[in-house]
Amino acid sequence: LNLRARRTLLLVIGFSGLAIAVASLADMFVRRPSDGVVPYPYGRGGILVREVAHASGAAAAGIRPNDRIIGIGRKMVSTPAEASRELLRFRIGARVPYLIQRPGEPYPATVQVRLSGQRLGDPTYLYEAIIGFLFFGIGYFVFRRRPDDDAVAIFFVLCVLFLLFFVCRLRPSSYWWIDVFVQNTGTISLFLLPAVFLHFFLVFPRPKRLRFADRESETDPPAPAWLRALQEFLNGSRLLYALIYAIPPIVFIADLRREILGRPVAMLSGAPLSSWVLLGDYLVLGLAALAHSAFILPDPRERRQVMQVFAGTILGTLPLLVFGIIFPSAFHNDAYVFWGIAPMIFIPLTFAYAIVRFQLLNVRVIVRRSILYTATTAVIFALYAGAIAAANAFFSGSRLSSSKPFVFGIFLVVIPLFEYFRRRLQTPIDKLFFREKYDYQRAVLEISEAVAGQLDIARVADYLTAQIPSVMRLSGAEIFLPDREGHFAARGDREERISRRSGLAQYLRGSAAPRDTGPLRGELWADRESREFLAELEGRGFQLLLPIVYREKLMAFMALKPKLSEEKFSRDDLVLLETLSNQAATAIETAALHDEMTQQAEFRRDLEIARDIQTSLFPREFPRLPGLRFAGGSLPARVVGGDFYDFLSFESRDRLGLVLGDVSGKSIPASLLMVASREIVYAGSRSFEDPGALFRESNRRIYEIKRRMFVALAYFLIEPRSLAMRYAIGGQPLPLLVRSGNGGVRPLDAPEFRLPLGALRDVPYDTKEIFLRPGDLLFFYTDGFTEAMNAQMEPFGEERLMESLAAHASPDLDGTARGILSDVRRHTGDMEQYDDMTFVLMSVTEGGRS
Amino acid sequence: VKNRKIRGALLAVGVIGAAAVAAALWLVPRRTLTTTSASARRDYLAGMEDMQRVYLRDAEQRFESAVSKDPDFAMALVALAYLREPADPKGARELLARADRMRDRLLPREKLIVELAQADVRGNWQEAGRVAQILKDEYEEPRAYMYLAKRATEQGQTSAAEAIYREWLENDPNAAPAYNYLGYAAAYRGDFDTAIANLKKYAFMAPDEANPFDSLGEIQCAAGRYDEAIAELERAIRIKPDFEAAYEHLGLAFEGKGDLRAARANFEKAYAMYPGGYPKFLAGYQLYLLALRQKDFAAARDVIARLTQLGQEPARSAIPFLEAALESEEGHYQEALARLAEFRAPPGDDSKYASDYEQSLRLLHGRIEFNAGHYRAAAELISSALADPGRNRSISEMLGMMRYRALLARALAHLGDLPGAERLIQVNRRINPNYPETTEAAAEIAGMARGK
Repeated sequence: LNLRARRTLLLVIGFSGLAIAVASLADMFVRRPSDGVVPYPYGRGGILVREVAHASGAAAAGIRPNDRIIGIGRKMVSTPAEASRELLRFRIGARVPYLIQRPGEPYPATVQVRLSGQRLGDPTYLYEAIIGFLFFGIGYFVFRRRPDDDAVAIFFVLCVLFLLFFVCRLRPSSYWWIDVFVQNTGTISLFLLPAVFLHFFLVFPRPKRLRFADRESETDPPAPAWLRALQEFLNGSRLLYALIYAIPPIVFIADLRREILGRPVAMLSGAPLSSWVLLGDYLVLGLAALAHSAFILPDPRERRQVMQVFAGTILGTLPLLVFGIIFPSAFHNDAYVFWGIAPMIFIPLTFAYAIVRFQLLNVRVIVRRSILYTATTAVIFALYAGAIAAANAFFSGSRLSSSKPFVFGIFLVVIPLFEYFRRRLQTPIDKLFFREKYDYQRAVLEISEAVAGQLDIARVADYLTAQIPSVMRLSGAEIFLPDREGHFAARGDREERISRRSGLAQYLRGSAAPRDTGPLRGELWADRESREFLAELEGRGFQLLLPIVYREKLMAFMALKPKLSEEKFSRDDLVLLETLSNQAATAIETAALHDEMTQQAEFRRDLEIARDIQTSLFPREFPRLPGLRFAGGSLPARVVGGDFYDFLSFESRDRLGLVLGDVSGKSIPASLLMVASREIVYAGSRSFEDPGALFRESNRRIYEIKRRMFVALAYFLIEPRSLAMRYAIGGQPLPLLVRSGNGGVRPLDAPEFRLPLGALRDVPYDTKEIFLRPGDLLFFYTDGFTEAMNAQMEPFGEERLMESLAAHASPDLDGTARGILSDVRRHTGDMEQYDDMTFVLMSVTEGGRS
Repeated sequence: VKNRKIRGALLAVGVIGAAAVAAALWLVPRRTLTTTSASARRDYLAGMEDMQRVYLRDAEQRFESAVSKDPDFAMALVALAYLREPADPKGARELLARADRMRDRLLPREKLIVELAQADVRGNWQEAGRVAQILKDEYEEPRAYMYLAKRATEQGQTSAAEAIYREWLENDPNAAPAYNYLGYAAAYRGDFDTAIANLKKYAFMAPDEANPFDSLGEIQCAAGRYDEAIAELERAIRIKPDFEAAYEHLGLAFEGKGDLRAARANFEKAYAMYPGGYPKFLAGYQLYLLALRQKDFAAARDVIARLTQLGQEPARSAIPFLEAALESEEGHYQEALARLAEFRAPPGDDSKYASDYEQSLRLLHGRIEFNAGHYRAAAELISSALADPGRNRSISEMLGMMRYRALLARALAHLGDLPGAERLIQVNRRINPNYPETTEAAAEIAGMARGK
């Protein structure tokens, strides 16, 4: 059956049972003559008297239990139907002759018939009917809330059968056909009851799993096949349930056959003895199953619930076993059957308490408010009654005590206290009856307090992964935090991660509500990364994802394993998780902000260090050499630039090295690379006079330091005496030369290989050479000049630079520099400087050549 | 039909239709009696119920009423014929002839009932038996059970009759005649508990009829439950004040209880009420025995004189016996034995009582021999009479048997067979632990045993 059909079927069964029970009671109000005899319903050859109602006509006539009525009126009767037919001939109040068969010989009696409804006045039956309806009420309450739960469905059927058993089977019947029908229904329920009872305790609070044939470790020898088969059979196999349900009908049919064949069927309290014995056997098995659950469940809280139900069921059923089944069947004494049935009220009461106290069967309790208001009303009433009593005692004898306005005045004084008491009682009531809710509220408070002051994301994450499973009794949890590489990675295992751009991450951003992994995997089927990630999570037993979202930004998410109790997550659970998620999101955001601020502070400090390093690379003063003048500077694009220049002096003072560099990236590593490059070139310059050779060697060393970081270098070796300048250029723009006279501006000749250093392992850098003349002006620069953009994203370019240099070239090197920089700024306008601009101006004076 | 909804609707209509047809067939009453008048039908059914309770006068009135409302009501005509047949055989035949004229309109069961009645009236036992058997087997017809049981009884097949009555009761626990018969049958076997149980049921079903209470009182008396017997018999007399047998049984009960004056008074009433014949003789005989027990020989002679005055059989033939017994009680043994030799069996073909008569004489002879001190002869005569099973006896005859069994025990004791005597006393006590003559005999035997 699908769930809907099953729900409908169960409702039909339940309400049919209820209708029969109600009809059974309503029938008692029908005006019919009754003699007060409660017959055994299945007798033939006369009506065997089971009970005689107190103060009835039969009691007055001296009819006793176990008498057999063989004649009513002037007719011999052999069945209740015949008795009913005869009795209906008489009016209420008539005195009817009866013939009673007792051991010995028939005994004539005269019975005054009365109204049949007097049967209901029997307090024993009233009590039993109340138990029956209590069962039904509890069963229906649970079923309405969790109609699709297997255990709840069985519990509901069990309650309906209990209703039929109490209201119909134990009904003080008369001879009317409705009694026969009702009592037969009750008898059938008595036959079915044990099977359903046992079934319920085999699946409550969850299906039993016996493991006596399992191996404890892989090295253990396997259990014998028959033992494994037995374990499989006992662990909720279809055959087991078929057997449980098949036995009662077989016994019932066997009894029916005996009845039809006229053989005696042993009866007890109006029902076949076999049904009671069956009930006893199944009760014992059911209690054993319940005891098993009470001792082996992993969750202590759940063990407490089951232990309570176990205690209630024992209290309710043990007297039934002793007084209702063992006593009558072994000692042929059914005088105490009522004392066996009476304590059965403990069963529904225990269930009711467990449901309210522990939300047994996962029922969300709606009675919280009712209990609160009932308790408050009781307190108020007690207060009011106490106040009235005290006032009466205090003012006794005075007119005040009998004054109605005085009483009303006390009422007015007491009533405003209602709200006060309601607030006061809420916590104790939650603590007593709604422990889980109370625990949840406390957990939210504690977790909120704990994470609120926490500025370390790792600690927040660790706290959440420890506390949530503990509060909710989960089998495990994992948190996924964003890493620096654009992923959400498991806190415990960095390899387990998913991209921040994945479908799952995008999906989880939408809401902080927990999500089941199963449906999510379906929805995100198209996204392979998400699908595989979810499948892996499920493979590890995770079931629920809890997004931690702050202002539509996924801060992190948690993966949760199922509850230890194997119950589904209730609405309370989900609400709690969402609340915790919001708390965690705020905490993580705060921690992240704090982290970012810390990082920024560190970054700023790093930058300062880098700037110090870089600044230290620039020459503090220009070299003083005859025939050569220098000017230079660097305009960093941000706080620190990647450009540098330096002069390398040699001991012989016949040469001067100029290094101009541009390291990719603007950070401490870049600065350090800059230092390293400078040192490499500096050291190399001592060994290699040829700039190309120096670059080839330096390139190899820089390549080994850090791959994927390049250094654009230009090295110029100037001999002041000869004004010869040899150079190698790797990745740097060609310096511009303004020849003396009106030679114009042109770039220096380009070497054949100009790759930046560190890009490839072996680059055959070559050396170019130029002979300078007095009056020449050289402009060494980095690409920050040519790549300076204006608003239209047009670079300043080499052409403009050459024009600017031509326009501003003069012996005043500082003026030249200002002019060029001014042109560049004019070109870029308000645009932020894109890159460092570093330059060196070198002019050759007349006294240069020697 | 492929559409599931239409298929379901058709199925539902079919099921409901079938249920409606079944209900209609069940609810429409089937004709069980051929009559045009509903009132006549009601009268007839009430009459049959009265018949079952043996309220024969009430039943006759009901049947007459039914016939007056529907003159062609064959079953009412048959029932009326059955009731009138003993007193008016010719009228009964005419009624049956009227019923037979309706034959073509009758149901098969009714036809068979008419056939049974005609065969019975004509004395065609074989045919009547055949038809009754069919009616019993096919229709469980009460009249068939009654006829078959009656025939079995008349043929002396008492166990067959009992079986038929038991079968009848299994099919209809309200068959009062069956309780009556089975009650007496059990009493004749000495099973008074079963007898009383059956007769109480009979009395419960027919509380306005004197007969069941008389029967019940008679059997309670035989069982020694004299107080209960007196109550039931007085009830019978209240219902039917001219019920001779009830007075006779009440006399026996009072005698058993030891109230001989009341016993005599009731025997006298019975004797006065009986018109004649064997019952009147028996009532006189009870008076005679009571006088002998009281050693009131004058009264005994008075009874003999009154019986002589009747001038009827069987009293006339029994007079010599009565006189012989009286003489032997007075100590004139030779005269008594001489009178016995004068005895002749009563004339006529009333074989019904012949063997009883002979047995009674043997018992009286035994009593005379006992009184003469001829214990061996007495023992032989009495034991041979008691050993004769004979027919089913009346309860008063059963009491007489107990009286002679006590006498036999005394004879055996005198002959020295004390264990045999004790056994006979026990037999008597099992039947009736309070029978006075048993008690007297037991005391005498105990004294003899002590003396020995």
